[in-house]
Amino acid sequence: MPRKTVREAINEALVQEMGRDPDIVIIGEDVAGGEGGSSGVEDAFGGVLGVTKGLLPRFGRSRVIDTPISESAIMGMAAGAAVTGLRPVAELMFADFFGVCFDQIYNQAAKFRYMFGGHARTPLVIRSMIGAGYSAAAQHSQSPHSIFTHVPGLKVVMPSNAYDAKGLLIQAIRDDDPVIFFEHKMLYDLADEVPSEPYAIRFGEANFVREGDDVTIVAFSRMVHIAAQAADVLEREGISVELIDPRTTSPLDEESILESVRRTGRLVVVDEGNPRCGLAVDIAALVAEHAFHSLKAPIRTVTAPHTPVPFAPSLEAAYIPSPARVAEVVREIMR
Amino acid sequence: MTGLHLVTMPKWGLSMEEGTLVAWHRQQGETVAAGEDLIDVETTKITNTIEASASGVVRRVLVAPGTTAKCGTPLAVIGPADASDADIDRLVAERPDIGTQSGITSIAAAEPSTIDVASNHGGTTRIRYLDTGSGDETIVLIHGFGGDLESWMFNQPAWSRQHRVIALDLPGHGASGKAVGDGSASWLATVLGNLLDAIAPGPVHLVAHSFGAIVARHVAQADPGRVRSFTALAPADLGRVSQAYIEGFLGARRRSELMSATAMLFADKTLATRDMAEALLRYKRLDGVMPALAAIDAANFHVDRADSSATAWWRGIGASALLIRGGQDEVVTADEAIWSDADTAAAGFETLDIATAGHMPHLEAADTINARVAAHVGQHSAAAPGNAA
Repeated sequence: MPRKTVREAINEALVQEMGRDPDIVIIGEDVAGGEGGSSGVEDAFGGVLGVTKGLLPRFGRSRVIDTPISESAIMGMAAGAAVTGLRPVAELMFADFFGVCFDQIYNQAAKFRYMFGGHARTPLVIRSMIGAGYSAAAQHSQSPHSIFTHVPGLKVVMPSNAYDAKGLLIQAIRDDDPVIFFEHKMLYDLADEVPSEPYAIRFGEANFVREGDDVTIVAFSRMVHIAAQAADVLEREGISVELIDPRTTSPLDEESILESVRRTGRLVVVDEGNPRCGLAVDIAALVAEHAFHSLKAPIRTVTAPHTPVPFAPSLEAAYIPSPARVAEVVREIMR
Repeated sequence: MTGLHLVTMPKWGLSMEEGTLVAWHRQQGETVAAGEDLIDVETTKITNTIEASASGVVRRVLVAPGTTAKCGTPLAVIGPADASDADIDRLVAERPDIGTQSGITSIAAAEPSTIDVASNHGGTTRIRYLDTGSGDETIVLIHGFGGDLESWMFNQPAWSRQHRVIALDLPGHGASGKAVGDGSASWLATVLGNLLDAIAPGPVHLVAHSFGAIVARHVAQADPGRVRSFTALAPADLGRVSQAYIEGFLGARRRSELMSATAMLFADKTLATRDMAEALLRYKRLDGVMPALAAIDAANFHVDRADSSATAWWRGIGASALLIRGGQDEVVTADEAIWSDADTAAAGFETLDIATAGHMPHLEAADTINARVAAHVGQHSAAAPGNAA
């Protein structure tokens, strides 16, 4: 089976779905590039990291729409297009920019189904980049997925690998509700086996990355790989880790998490988001509420600290949860 | 001629790149006979046993249990007790003819092909197939419900040593097109017939498993001259298909749920691995697969007893047919009347009953199946006595 990167897998999903359904349109800044400029180069960018490269020549300007630098215009246009029957895939280049367009997402797209008595469908996908690691400072490195997970009416997807990225994006495009699709910028070059045929992965179905007996680690997006590295180290020390990647934070596969913790009796949640009111404490609360009597040790979380993402590379490295921190927390609850 | 044989890590199936040694059945210095169990090897899909490729002394064990090795890696040297260590060293260093001495042949390098063949509605259907070996006789391998051409990974290499062997993905399966029409065996058989017209027009030997055996029977019924011999493993139309299995397989959304179903396939439950379940989950997610499987299920598996037309056909087919079952099959409960017929020699066909296997005897008892089917094909080849054209 062919190996593809996360970038290639997302591109392939877009190409295959746009080929299948002419109602799918791409909207965003520099999704093609060159529009309105004087260079005369078509498809100059294909997105800031090249994810949408090649869509413009294939599907044309009416379906691959470069916008002015106005996130509120992108999201307003996309949400409106969705209720009229198109299936937009809008791009919020960096998730950090949600502040200027959150009304269109939070108060409009997420609410249409409910405000219009169930008569409106909003088949909107918002692709957006998250994550630290590029030394891009506090306004281009954040992981605000918990804020979106908090909002009823939005579905939130966080793929950790190329296979999941393609199947989850196809599912997102076919879904009739607004879906926020978070791509971690450090994962684009990660490759694994991706079928050439289209396929869809249903939301709310966790992937058991590895099975184990002593401790359940729940991790999302890039943190799945951080946790897997920790699990490799712990395995050599005789500690058997079950690693769960829920793939979507909303809906969340609560059943798989609870089933696992009831077996292992220990839970560590690893998340790159900030700690307060975040995804890690959400899952900790779920387990405390429904599987408390199975616990053999306190629930632990490993997250970024409650600070903005530092610019200095040394501090940024300390900010991001590391395999060593995850392993140490697991050792503490195994004592 | 030193009489030394190098045993290498085999390649079972298209995706196998490496295997992990689980256990040695013989230690260095012990004697082994050709065909005896030598090494247990675990792959991401399944655990299987490598047999000794020659008789002799296990002169050298090259890889320790727990080690993971790439396909083709030398694992052991078998040879005469008096062969010199220098010769053994030379053999290991040269690694001659990797992949052939452990009984695995050209499949290691083979890549599947695809071809567009006419389907029933004027359109075309893409079929993937793996074409290995060469010879006067052609064996065509047809997998069961939810399977694919890799179902034959332990068999195709063995038969490819003497014959041309074609394993295919049925419509709706593997990497073939997912259209299955009404899901009936006759619909699939028409596509299969068109495929054979294109790539193997002469008479062939059909070897088919479970639901594939129903399709194969329709191929044979549509054109009896096409079939030189017919081998059916756990045929789904000569018994009752477990609804628990079908519903479990179709309904499972999580790996753990699917493993409850796949465990029913084997007598040895450890063969139903999590990687096998993950591969099946990924297959089920492909566009068009679930509707295809649902159509096949509706058209074929909702009968309370053995299909009487199948029974009648078997009773008339004669000695060119071989019927195989596993004694611990939980998926297809064989129709005892057919087997009683066989016992009393009232029927002309031959039978093989493997007590230790479940629904997948070609995986669980690969060596027995490989030898028996090879003999059956040999008896019914064009060159066999009494078969002169």
